[in-house]
Amino acid sequence: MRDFFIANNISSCQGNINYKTAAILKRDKILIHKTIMKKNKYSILLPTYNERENLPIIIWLICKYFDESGFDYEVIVIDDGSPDGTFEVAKQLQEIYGKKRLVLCSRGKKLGLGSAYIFGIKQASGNFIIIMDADLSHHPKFIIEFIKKQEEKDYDIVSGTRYINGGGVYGWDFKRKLISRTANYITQVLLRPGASDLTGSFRLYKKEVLNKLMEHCITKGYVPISFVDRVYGESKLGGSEVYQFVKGLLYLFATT
Amino acid sequence: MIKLFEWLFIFFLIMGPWTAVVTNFVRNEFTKKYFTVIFCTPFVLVGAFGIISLLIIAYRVFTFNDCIEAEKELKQQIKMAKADLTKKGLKL
Repeated sequence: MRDFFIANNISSCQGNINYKTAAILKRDKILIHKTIMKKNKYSILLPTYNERENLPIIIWLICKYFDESGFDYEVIVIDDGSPDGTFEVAKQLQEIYGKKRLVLCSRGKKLGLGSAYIFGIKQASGNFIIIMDADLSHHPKFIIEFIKKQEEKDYDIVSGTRYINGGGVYGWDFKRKLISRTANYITQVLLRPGASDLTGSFRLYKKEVLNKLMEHCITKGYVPISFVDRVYGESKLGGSEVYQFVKGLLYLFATT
Repeated sequence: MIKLFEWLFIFFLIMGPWTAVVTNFVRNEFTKKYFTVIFCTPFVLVGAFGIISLLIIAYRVFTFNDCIEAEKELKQQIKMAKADLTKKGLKL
């Protein structure tokens, strides 16, 4: 709007008709440009539980890459009542980055990742949703690549994958690599989903697609990502995660 | 068709005739001549599937790309982020 007025002022100050036309053209160009840029907004969902050390860094990185790229975005932090004070840190960050960029939601207790995403989608004002881990194992620089990939063929989903050329992991020992590869292999064989990285959770979705997850999704783009194992805090992979994975796998096996 | 039924369908497609031959329900020149081969087929198939799976997984584990550069970059950016955020008034 500011540019609009500036352009108008120029046109009223100048008596010369050519100046006027130029100013109007310039104004239109600005408006068109703004409309295109405004079209897409990306909402990044960050579910957190005890991530007070990682959160400032991931948000700093997200803002850095988005501000450089010029895409419109917002970060939605969904904290499950972390006892380590993650939410207090988030509030400080909100003062730095503003309420428009950083949306905070606190859900008194640990309700889990899945419900955090559902909760987050409801708060999202963007037409694209990005889900990622807040523990710095997913680098925000890939989000920009996701967006570019999405624009290539207007994909419904763009998924980060550690398993194709250019992707990878850091800080994984043999055991973890074995578990990751085995879990993915078994899933690939049993379900034949036609997706590369099933156990990863670094993806970009069209919001309406994510809302209707159970419906068909035909187009998928992949961006190779590197996965740097968390520097701060503890991994949440334990026996119960393995159990949940097997349970989910069998459920899908018997229902899809 | 759900995945479970797909698997069951293939399972019965192979195991049905196999059981008929092994239990002598079906008997002819062909089954007599190749009885051992027919008898071994399911075991060989399962074994081969297992071995191939193990080889695929082993290959993928050993060729899992290690991103050493990515870690270096991140470490550096963590430092930058901390410095910048402290300057902006964040108490870490």
